[in-house]
Amino acid sequence: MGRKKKKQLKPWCWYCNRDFDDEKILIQHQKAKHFKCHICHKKLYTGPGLAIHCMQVHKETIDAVPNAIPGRTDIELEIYGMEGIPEKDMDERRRLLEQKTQESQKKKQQDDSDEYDDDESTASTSFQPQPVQPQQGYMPPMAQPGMPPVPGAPGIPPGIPPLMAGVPPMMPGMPPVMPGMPPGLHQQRKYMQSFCGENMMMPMGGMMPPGPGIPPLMPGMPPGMPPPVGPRPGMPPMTQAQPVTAPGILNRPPAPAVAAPTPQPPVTKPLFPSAGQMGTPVTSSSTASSNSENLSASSKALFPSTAQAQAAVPGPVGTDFKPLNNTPATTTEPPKPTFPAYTQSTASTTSTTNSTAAKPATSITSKPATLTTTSATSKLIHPDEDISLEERRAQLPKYQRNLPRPGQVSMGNPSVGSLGGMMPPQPGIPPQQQGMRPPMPPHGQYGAHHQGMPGYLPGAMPPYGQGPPMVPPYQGGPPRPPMGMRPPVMSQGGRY
Amino acid sequence: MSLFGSTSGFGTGGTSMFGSTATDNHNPMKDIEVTSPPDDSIGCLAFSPLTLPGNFLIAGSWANDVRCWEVQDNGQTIPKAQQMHTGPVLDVCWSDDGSKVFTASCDKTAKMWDLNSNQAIQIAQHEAPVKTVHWIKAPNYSCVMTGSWDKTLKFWDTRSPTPMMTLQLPERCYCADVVHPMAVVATAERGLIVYQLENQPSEFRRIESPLKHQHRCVAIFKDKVNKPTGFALGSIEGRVAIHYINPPNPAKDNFTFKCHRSNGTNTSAPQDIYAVNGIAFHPAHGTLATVGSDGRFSFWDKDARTKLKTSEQLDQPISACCFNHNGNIFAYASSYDWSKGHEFYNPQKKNYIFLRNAAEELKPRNKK
Repeated sequence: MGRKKKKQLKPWCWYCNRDFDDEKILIQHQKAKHFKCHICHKKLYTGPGLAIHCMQVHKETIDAVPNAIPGRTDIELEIYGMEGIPEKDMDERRRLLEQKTQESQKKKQQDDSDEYDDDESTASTSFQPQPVQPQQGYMPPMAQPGMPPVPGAPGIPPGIPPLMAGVPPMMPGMPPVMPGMPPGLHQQRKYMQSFCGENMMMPMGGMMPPGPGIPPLMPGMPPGMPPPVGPRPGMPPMTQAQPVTAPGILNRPPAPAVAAPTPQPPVTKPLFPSAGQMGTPVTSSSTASSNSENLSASSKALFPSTAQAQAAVPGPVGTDFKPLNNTPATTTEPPKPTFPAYTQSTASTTSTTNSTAAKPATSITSKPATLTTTSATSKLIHPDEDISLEERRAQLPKYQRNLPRPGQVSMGNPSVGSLGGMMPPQPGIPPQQQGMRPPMPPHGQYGAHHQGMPGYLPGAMPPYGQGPPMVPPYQGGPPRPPMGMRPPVMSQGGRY
Repeated sequence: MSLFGSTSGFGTGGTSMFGSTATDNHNPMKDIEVTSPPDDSIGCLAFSPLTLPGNFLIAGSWANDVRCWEVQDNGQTIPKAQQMHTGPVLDVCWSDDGSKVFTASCDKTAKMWDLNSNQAIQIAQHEAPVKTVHWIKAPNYSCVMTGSWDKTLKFWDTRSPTPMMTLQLPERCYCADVVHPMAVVATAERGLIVYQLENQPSEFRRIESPLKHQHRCVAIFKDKVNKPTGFALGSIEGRVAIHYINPPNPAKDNFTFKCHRSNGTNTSAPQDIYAVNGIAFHPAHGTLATVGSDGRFSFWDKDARTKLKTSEQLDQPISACCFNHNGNIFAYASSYDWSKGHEFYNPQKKNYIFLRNAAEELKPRNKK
C-alpha cells in the first residue's frame, strides 16, 4: 500500500471525501452517487452533464450535486474521477492526510522513545517506517465521514487504540492484516455501486466494522484482545438443538470455534463446493476474511462460528456498513442517507419491524407476535401477525370444514404422528366437526394439537379408513394390490 | 382417467387464449392459460422430471385437490387426472422417475400418487399441516422428506407407516428445497438449517438468517459443475438473499436484493413492499425467477447481479412458480395468497396458471 502518487496516494471523491482503491471504482462511485438522475436514474459522467440532462429531458433544474458534502456541491465544476479537482482542494486534502499521519507518527515516536529509552536511538528509528504503512492503511477508514470510527465497534473500543499504538511490538504479525482490510472495504463499496439493476442491494458487509476486530480471529492474538472473543461463546446455547428421535444421527461435535486458533485450510468435505474456488488463499491480503471462513468451514458443526463469521453484519447494511436495522427502538432513520431511496425505506421498515418481530412468539398458544407493517416510507403488504400467510388462511373455518367431512375420527392425542399409533376411531367427537372453530384462538388448531385439546383435530385420521388399522397397507411390496382397493378414499365417498 | 369433475364440465383441453378485454388485467403478459385451473388458490406447482417424456404439470390448491395436465409442445394443456386431500394442498413434488407425485396437505398427511394406476395412498403423518414434501434420491437410499408446522422434519420410506427418521426443527417449517446431497429448510422465526443427505440425512449447519423478515420461500442453486452450492431465500419483505454455503469470501459473495416493491422511491407515497411467494432457478442457465404478492414475476441473474426482466402487473398475486425440466417453460399461478387478509378474498375470482416460454428471457447477462 502506498505507491506515492501525485494525487495523494489514493483516489478520493471530491464531492464526499471518500477514499477509493482505484480510480475506476471512484468513477463508478461518482456516477452512481453524484451523477445519477433522481428522476430516471440515468447515470451521467459529470456534474454539468447531469444538470444538462435534467434540463433537457425532464425540464427540471438542479442546483446541487446529490449526496455531496456541504461546500462541495458545485454542479458546474467538471470533475471526473480525480480530474478537474481544483488545486486548492487537492492541497487541502494533502495537508489533511499529512496531518493525520504526522499525528500518529508523532505518537508512535514518543512511544518508541519511551519504551526504548535505554536502547540506542537507532532502535526506535528503525521502527518508524513500518508503523507508517499500516497506519496509512487505517487512515482512510478514519477519514471517512461515513465509516464508523473505530470506537464504534461494540466491545472493542478499549482494545483498539492501544493496539494501534502498540503496533511496533506486534510488528511481525500485524502488517499483513491491516493492508488487507481497506481493500476489502472498497471492494464492497464497489459491489454496491456497480449493480446494474435498480433493485440490487449491497452485499453483506461481513467484515467491515470488525475491521479492527478481525485480528481476534488470527492466531497469536495478543492476550489483550479477549473482549471481542467474549460474545462468541454466548452463541452456542442459542443455536443448538439436538434432533430428537434420530437413530444414528450424528451429533454435532460441540467443539467451540474459538478453541481453534490456528488458521488452516478448511477441512470441510467438499460437499457443497464454493461458488468460486474452494480452499483458502492464505495470502496476506485476505487472511482476515479467509480466517473467518476457516472457522466456519472447518468446523462444520459449529453454529457459533458460522453465525459470527458471516453475520457480523447480517442483512442490509448502509453504505457505511453499519447494519441498518440493528438498533431497534432507537433509530428510525439510517445513519447515512447515501442510498436515500433504498436505505431509508428498508431501514425504517426493517428497524421498526425488527423491534416487534423480535419479540418471540414462543408458545404456540400465545398470540403470535405482530409485525409492524407500516412505516413512514413503506408499507409491508402482509397481515400484522407474524405467522405465515398459509397458517393464517388455514385457520379459517372454511378450510377446516373439509377436514371433518370424511367423518373421520378425531385423534385424541396422536403420539408421534406415526400411523401405528392412531388406531381406534374415537367416537363422540364428530358433533364438533362442522364449523366449531370460532372459539379457538388464532393458533388454535396447532395449539390444540400440542395440548391434546379435547376432540377435534382436523384431519386427524386421514381417510384410509376402512376400519382396519393402517398398518396393513404398509407391509411392503406385496400388499400393494390390496391398496389398489383404496380408490374410494380419494373421492371422499369412502365409508361415509 | 378422471377429468376434473367438480368444475364446469370441461371436456377436452384446448388452448384457451382468452383475449384480455379492455379492463381485464388477468393476463397482461399474454401467456398461455392452462385449462381447467383449480377453483381455489394454487399453492404449489411442479413439472415432471426429465425422465418422463413430455411435460406434465401438477398443481396443488386450496380446494384440496391436486391436478395434473399434460402440456404439449404447441402449448395446449390437457387435463389428465386429479386427486383429493381432505385439506388444502400445500406442496407437491415428483419422484425422480416421474411415476409418482407426492402431495402435502393441511390435513397433516402426505400422499403418494401413482400416476399409472391413478391411486394415491397416504405415506406420511404429522401432527400439524405438512408444508413441504420432497423426494430424496441418494445412491444408497430413497425417501420422502416432509416438513410440517409441527416443527419436525420427517423422512419416510413410502412402505412404512413410521418415519425412517425424525429431525427436530427450531420452529414451524415454512419452506424447503432439496438438491442432492443438500437440503435447506427455512422455518418460522427466521430459522435456517442446511442438511447434508449423503448416507443419511443429518443437520449440516444452522445459519443465521441473512434476512430480517419472515422466511417464505427457498430454492437451491448449483454451480457450474452442477453441484448444489447455495440457495436463494425469499422473505415477506420483498427481498431475496443469495447465500453460498462455502464461499471464498462470504462478505463479498453473499448478498441480498430487493424485489417486488411498488415504485416508492420517487413519489411521495410510501413504498408498498410485497412478499416473495416463490423462487425457481432455471435448470440450464442458473438464472432465477421470483414471483410476488404484487402480481409480478421477475427474472434475475445472480452472478451478474442484475435484473433481467420484470413482468407487467397481474390483477392478483402470483402465488407459485416453477420451470419445466429443461427450462423452456415457466409456469406461474395467479391467485390470492392472503397477503391482504381475509377481507380481500373473493371466492368468485378465477384462479389461473400461465405458461411462458422461458428459453430466451432467462439467458444470463454477460458480466460487465
